[in-house]
Amino acid sequence: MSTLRTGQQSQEPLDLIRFQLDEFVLVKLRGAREMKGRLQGYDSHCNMVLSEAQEFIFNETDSEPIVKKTEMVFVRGDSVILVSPTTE
Amino acid sequence: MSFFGFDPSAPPSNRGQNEAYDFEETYDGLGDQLDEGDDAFNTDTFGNADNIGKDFDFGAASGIAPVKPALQPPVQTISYAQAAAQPTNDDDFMQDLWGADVPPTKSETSAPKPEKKILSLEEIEAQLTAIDRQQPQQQHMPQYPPQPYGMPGMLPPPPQFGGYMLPPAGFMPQQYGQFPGVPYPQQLQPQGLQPGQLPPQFQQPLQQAPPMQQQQQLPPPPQQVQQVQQQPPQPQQVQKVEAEPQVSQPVNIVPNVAPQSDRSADLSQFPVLGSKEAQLQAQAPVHHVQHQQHQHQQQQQQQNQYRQNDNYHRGYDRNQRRAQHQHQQPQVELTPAEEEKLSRRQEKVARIMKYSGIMNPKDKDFVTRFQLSQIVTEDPYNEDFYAQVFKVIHPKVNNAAIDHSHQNNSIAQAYLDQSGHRLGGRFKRADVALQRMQQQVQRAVTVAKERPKLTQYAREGALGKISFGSGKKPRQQLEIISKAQQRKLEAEQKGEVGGSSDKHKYSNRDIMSILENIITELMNIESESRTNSDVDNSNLWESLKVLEQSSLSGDEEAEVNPFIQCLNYHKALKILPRLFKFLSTTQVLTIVTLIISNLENLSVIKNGSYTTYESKKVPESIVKLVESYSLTFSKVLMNAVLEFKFTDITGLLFILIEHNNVSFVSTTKIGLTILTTLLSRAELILGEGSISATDLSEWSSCYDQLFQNLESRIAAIFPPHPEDVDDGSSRENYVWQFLATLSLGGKLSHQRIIVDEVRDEIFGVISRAKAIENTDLVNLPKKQNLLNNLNMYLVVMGLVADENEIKELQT
Repeated sequence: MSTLRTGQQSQEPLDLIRFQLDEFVLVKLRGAREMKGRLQGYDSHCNMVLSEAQEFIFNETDSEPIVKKTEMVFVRGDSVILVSPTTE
Repeated sequence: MSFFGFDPSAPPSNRGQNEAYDFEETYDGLGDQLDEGDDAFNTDTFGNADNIGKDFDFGAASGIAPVKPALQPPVQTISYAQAAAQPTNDDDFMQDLWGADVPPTKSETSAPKPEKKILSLEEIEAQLTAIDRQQPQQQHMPQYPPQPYGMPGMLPPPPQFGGYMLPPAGFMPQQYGQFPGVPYPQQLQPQGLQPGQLPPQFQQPLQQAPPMQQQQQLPPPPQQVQQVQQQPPQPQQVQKVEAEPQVSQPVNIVPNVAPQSDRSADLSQFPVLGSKEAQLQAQAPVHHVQHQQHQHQQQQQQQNQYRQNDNYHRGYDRNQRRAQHQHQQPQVELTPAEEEKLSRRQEKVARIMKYSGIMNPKDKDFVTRFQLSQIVTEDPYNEDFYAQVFKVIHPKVNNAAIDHSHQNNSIAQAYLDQSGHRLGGRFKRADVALQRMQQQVQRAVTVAKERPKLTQYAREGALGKISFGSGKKPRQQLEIISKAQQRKLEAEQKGEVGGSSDKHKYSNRDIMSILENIITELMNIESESRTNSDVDNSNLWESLKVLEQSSLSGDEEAEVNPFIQCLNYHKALKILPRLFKFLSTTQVLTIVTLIISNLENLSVIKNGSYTTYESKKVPESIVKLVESYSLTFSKVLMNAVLEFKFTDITGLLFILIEHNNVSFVSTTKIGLTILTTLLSRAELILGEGSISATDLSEWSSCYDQLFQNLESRIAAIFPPHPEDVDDGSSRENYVWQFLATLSLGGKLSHQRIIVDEVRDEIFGVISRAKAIENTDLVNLPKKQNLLNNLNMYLVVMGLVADENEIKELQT
């Protein structure tokens, strides 16, 4: 679940991620990868835990990405390029 | 005109029954007033009476008999030309119509007619007696006294005549002379088919008796009639009255002898029928020419005559065709069963018509006037008729300035003023009874005016609002409108089309922020509660923003109360059980009230009804949310409701009914679960029996309202694919649970309605259970579950179902 935070409603960039807790997010990653999944948790490094996740691996030759499905996955924050809300 | 060709405008019998025996007095030209225009349709109206049976009761109306025969013959002998010459009674008609009975004019107009006829009568009698001497069965005649045609009061002929009415005096003869018996052959045919069975007397009077009696004798088979028809050559119709009877009477005699002895002879004469029509057509133009000169009464009469001719001609044509048809198979004997059937039908028609026409228009007018006089006002005034009518129709125009209570009575007042007029106006004081009646009318009108206004019932009714009709705006049969639409309409009426501007719109991010805050506060209070048993939940309550913005079902999505919007997210649901732990009962009640009044704003309700989807299937995402609700919200609610007082629950139900379309909510799983939860808790408390009388009546009215909203749509709570709801794998089925709860709270009448509406579903479950083989061990538990769920409902009514049948529950 969400990390324990006693912080107020202060407007900070990571709030955008906080609001997406328990919702589906699209995480764009280095190495031509994307992850879709339900955001289970995150931290200030943008390390994230996604459930019901799908990994899309784009390669230069094929137009169709390779899709890997994972029940629960840890995404290390240093590879995260962007996080955005999405639908399932 | 009446059904029977009897002119309803005929003068009443107020000229005195005693005088009726005087020919001069009795013949008042009634027949001339008749409009037989539609007589040709008598058969259509009364059916083609093929068999009138043989139990004629001619004696029934014989009281005034002896004079009549003498009276009738002249009538019959009038030719068209003569009839045309008779003065019309249009003035009388108008007088009757408008209620101003001026008998003098009537007697004036009718006076000349008897004289003319007397002349012909003598001649006819002379001829008739001559004929009668040759007839052996003269003595039978007296047994068949003619019908009292001249007596207006007696006009409706007795039903023994087999259901058809004898046309009144003035009319019949003309018709008969030219179309002898045309309309009757089919009606009397059955007897004509078996002439030998007719008592000789029956036909005998024909020769002797006046024409009116011939109608009774018409039973001779159609051949006779048709024979008669061909006989009078065209010139005779133009002849003087004296000439005609000579021809027509003998003709009537022939049929009596011929048909019994030799049918084929009659048949041979039959083909000549067409000539009759030709005669009529030839004659018509004559009348037509005269018809154009509207100069005096005679011509008017002629016009009437012409019309009669024309109509008769048409009817005649048709009738003749029928007669011809019957004629072609005259020997076909009706089976006893058929005869029985026909005679029974005849009897029935006779019974129906027994009293029809017994009241003439004057009688009716008298009764109406009498009734109206009962509600007369004590102080009517003589004013312009149209002004009074206008006042009745538009009471407000005249009474705009008058206070409300007076307006209530203005209709009655105006009405009474007007009818009071009839009793002699202000110069006659109404007696006490009349005053009482007057008060009654005023009360009735007042009550009618005090009926609920349209808006009062806007929210009632199972399918929308009950609408009351007025004369100008008739009641609509059904008005189905969702709460959202309704509110929109109301807002438009108030001119608040853009009226939502004062409300804060919540963006998705706002809601997420609020939701995260709630979670944060919840976690704070949770951590606090670990160290301190007495925690302050005000921060948490603040963060819920339950009271931040009120909203109701049907509000725009973004303006709905943020807490309600939060409930569309899984994470909000997940924290609900934890959240409610820290809230007081009052706070919980507030939240539940908010939810109940916003049910249709919950996406789980709004999008959770199969009825809104074309495929009748709820989308997957909503299904997941519904599951989430069942696991969290439903359980939280159930626990919360346990704390509620009885009045709270009825209050919640009232709110639910008022702010939501119950029949829509009931088609969603969560909506139905909420209803079940509230109802079952109320019934549990009821079962404890410590409910005050006022609460009890409150509850029953609440239940009635709820039921009213559900009624006729109960079956709709079952989704179209029963497998979606209950494939037997679950141990409970929310639909049957709801029905069980609903039945439990209702009276027997409610239960009957429910059973009626869900009967198909009950049998559906039974057949589905039956479809699972007892040897199918894998699915056997499903079968049991299906039946168990069904029985949960049936048991409430003392029933129990197995896969084969529904039995009474054995105690």
